[in-house]
Amino acid sequence: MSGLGALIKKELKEQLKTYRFLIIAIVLLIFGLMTPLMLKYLPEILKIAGEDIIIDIPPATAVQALTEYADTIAQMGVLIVVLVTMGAISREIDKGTAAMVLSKPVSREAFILAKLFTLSTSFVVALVLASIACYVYTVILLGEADITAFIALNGLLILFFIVAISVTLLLSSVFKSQLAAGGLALVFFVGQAVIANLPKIGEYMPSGLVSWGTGLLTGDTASAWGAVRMSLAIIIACLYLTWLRMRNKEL
Amino acid sequence: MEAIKCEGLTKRYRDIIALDNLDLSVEEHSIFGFLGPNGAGKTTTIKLLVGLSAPLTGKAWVAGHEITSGAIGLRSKIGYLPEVPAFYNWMTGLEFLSFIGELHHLSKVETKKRCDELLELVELKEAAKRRIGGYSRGMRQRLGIAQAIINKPEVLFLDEPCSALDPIGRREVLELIKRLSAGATVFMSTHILSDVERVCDSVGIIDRGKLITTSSMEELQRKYARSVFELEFEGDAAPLVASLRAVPWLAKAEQVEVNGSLTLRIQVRDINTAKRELPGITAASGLTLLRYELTLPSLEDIFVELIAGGGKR
Amino acid sequence: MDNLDTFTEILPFFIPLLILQLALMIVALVDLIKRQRVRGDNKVLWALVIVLVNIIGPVVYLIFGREE
Repeated sequence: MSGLGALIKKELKEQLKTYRFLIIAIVLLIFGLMTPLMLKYLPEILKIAGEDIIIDIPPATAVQALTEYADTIAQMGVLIVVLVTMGAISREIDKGTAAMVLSKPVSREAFILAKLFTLSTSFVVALVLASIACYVYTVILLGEADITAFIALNGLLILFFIVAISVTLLLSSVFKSQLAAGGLALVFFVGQAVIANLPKIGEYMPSGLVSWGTGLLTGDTASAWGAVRMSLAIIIACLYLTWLRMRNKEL
Repeated sequence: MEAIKCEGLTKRYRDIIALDNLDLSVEEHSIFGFLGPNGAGKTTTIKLLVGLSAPLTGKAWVAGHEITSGAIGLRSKIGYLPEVPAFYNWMTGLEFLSFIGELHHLSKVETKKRCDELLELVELKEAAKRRIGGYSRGMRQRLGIAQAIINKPEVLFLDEPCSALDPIGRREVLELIKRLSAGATVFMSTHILSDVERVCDSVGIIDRGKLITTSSMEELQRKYARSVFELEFEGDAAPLVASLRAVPWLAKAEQVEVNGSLTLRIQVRDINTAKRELPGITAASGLTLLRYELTLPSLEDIFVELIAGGGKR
Repeated sequence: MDNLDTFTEILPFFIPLLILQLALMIVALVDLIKRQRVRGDNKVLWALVIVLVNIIGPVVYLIFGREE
């Protein structure tokens, strides 16, 4: 895997210098903080705003906050994955930097894996920050929650994001247009979310990772190993296809 | 020994044959000029030789290794400057060079040493810590040359190395290329003939994907040495041109501007007869002769003739 | 005065959130000001997008608007 180390270093620097990492971290953090805050204070904010309707909803719970956090972060996370990944390969081919780098003793596998690795790393770091922020706020505002279940939930979210990164990376190696790659990646995620509601095949969709995670919070014991296996299969398949695409790519 | 060897390289882009059965060999430690008009197949050839593109048929060897897309070891022995070098604009010049050094597996110390040397050499020392995004085209070209030679390559491929440079920069780069040939074989493509005349030991001329000829510079000049007479007159030499049309040994006669004065250039097929007969014809025309000179053909003359000949298919 | 009490009670929790949003906006604005050329060549429009479209505005600028 020639050149992997140098490429990873370059990708990490690029994430920082082009604000990619900042975007990922801040957006996830914002939603991490916002979810428990909104659950707790939305009724009161409405009151301050002078709405005279009497809102009669039961007080929010910690489990509710963490569940909502998982759903929001999964959606926003995929959106951010798509935004920061959709040009990752096509832009380098288009600008000619891929030709510059790949004329050096660098394997094309390393070129792809460096991107997958650094993007995944960014999301891991950002999710750790966001989940800590969310958990602290939830405990302060709404009370205790099962921390082990919450950690497991975040682990499943990471896997979900890596699926998103792999899919978008593949599309960015196929389509010259960033918007085409991004659009199709979103179609893929909306599509799998719809299918996830169907009986039988539904439980194999990557979205099953998120529902398994939120289930853990409420003590639901139904596991979704099918979704885990499917997710790993998608990641490997996408990497393989990206490699096939890049292997003979004329630069 | 040959540093570069191609056998029957053919490349097709959809219906267009970009390269048609190219056979070529380049001697070690020589500077090979690859000449041709735009779109002739020069960039295609270089991309095949550095392994960024794969041929439809044919084989090629560089520095003793056969080129395949997986021949990663070979790439540490070659240097490549693309036609339009691309960089990560968020990096500084120094960061980019260090990055390329790392890709070549140079040690930290070695990378730093080479970066310092090269930034000095291509005169980017002051701009080394500025973002490449703010570099001019000439600076980018010079950075491109620096990254191509950071690994002290055995074979160096330069695709139009002088295209973005001003006359002074161009001269400096050509001198640099000349110096490099002591330790490396240089394969440079260009459409600028004077550059080739200035530095190359041998040339290949390509047009529409077909190699028209290869030879050493001297041989080329000798082989196509239709000597050229340059005559300068007071006033228009058109009547003389008309009377020259009748002589059998004439290849071409035309009036051209040279340094602001009108000069009649006469290319001939039979140099000895021309030497004997031309003065008489000139005298008979009644024009006042200012200058009479026999010169060697420039590469441009040869080039135009070869391309014109090859083009008429 | 009931509303004011709630307001002062809630506010501290919202400050980190506001800081994050502001940070994103400032990073984008500083980059916009320093940059000579932006996509679409309309700096004013980008400035409006960054300031008016919460979160998404700065993100879209930082990903698409920056052009060398």
